[in-house]
Amino acid sequence: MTFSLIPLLPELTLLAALALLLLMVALFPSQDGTAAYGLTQLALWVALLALWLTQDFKSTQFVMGSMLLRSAPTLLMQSAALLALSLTLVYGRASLIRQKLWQPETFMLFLCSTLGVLAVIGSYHFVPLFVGLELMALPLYAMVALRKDDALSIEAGLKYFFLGALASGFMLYGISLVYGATGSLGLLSIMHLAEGFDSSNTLLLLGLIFILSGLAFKLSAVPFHMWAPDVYRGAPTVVALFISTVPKLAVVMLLLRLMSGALASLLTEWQTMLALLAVLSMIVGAVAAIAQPNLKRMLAYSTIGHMGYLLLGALVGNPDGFSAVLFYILTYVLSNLVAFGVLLSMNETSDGDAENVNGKITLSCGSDLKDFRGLYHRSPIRAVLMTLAMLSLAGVPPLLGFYGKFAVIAVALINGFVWLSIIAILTSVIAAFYYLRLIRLMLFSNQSEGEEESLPAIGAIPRTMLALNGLVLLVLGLFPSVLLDTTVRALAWAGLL
Amino acid sequence: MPGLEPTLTHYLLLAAALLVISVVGIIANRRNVLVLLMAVELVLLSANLNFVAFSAYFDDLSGQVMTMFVLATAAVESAVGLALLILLFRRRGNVAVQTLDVMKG
Repeated sequence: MTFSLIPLLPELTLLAALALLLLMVALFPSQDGTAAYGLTQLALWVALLALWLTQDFKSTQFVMGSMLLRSAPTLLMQSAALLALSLTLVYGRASLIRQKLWQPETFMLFLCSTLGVLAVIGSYHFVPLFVGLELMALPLYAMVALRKDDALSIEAGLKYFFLGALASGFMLYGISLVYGATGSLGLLSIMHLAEGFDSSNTLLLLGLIFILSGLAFKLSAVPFHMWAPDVYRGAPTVVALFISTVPKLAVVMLLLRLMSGALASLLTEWQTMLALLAVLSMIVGAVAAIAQPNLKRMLAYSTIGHMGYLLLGALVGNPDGFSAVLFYILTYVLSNLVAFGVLLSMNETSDGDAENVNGKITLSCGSDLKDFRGLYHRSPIRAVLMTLAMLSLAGVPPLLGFYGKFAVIAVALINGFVWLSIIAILTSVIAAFYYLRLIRLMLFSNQSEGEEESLPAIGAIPRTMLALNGLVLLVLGLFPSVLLDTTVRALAWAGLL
Repeated sequence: MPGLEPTLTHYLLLAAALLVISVVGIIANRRNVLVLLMAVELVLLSANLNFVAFSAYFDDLSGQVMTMFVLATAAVESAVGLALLILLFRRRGNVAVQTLDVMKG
């Protein structure tokens, strides 16, 4: 059997960059992160270029037997992952330097995790899927605990590690049961072998339950969401941004792939469980966020809520629903990038000494909501961009986020999930409260007296990119059909996810 | 001895028991983070046992190949876990689970 390595060029590029970084660290141990940052950005853009050049996106192509899949949706999601990491690093550059994380190792971890994300998005076999998932998740645990002398960072890292490892284990156990039910590990052959199976096949049903619980953990859907607020809060903000965007792209793709392909014969069971996850996530995401005094924790609950809407689109279980989900995750990633981008440009005090204040633990840092009081008077551009991001996340009409919510709710309503749609609309109204509260705080509150601390200047490149990113929210919000048509057409071209 | 040959069901039950033991170990353990680490590894091993048992049952090698990959990732996972554990010990001077509650989820 022969196969060409050309379709693997994007992954190989990242792998080569990783190897080069390791070599650089070994040869010049005392260097800072500048060269590594440049190399990482270069690798990301070369990979993106390779992705678009090597792939005929109108057809579906299997690589290495049926191990890996190359199609329009994988192209879309892989590009989104590469772009999101590139933007994350642009926005996070200043923050990384301030937190003394400007080292080559930091970029290695980011690259490694993104390589895992690409592998998961492109895999059509349980072996590369599982290895890709672990490759994606393991660097994340280390990245969360990157501030090595910060108690919060370590605690968050450990919590994430134990819950994440348990979720991976559950997923693997589920995969082993699916293997037991069908006798194959390839998704393509499982799809054929499992045709006609229903819920009376206990092994397959149990396998689905275990796999779905692992996926729900990685999506931070309720009741598997406990880690999210702590991890977002404890992790360096750059890492929180990364966790809330790039791995989600891979997990959503995997969820849709299993639901539409290998395990499609259990659609009713999928729908029941996804409905439960979706409703709980939407409610918890909307209600619990209101009480959060910290923006990072608030954004964690916001993510939980968004995953609820996303699952609402997925549980419809037809191509309309799947393309709405792809559209939704892209709008969510674009909006979240702006929100975290502004947050990354704020002052961040390290929490290193947080425990030592008179024995009382204070958890204050630059990401508390009160730090945004009167932001408009201090830095109009930050306030305006944050307003755009919050309006988009809340789903206010002229912005992109509205059409994301609109697409999933419309598709659920058309396919007869009326009650779920009503819950989705109600929770998005409740959720709008805390997004709008931040906007009120930034635009219409006066800054409290005696707190005239100046904000660090934003560099020219991050400012331009942030402004462009904010503009994209607005422009794509005015012409949502551009992106929506892309996802619909990608799915139609591919035939299978 | 006839009648005492282990069948597929026995292996599956053993794997399920291992899974239950490890989940209980994670939930009920309130003392030592190291024990958590062992419990987490046990989950992967229980899945491995399933893979091997099914592989022998179907006379299909792919399950055993999967096991090799899982063993490798399990080793990496424990390396990351131990690294985090060392960080915790340096910062706190102990590895007790109770101290991991500065932030309330």
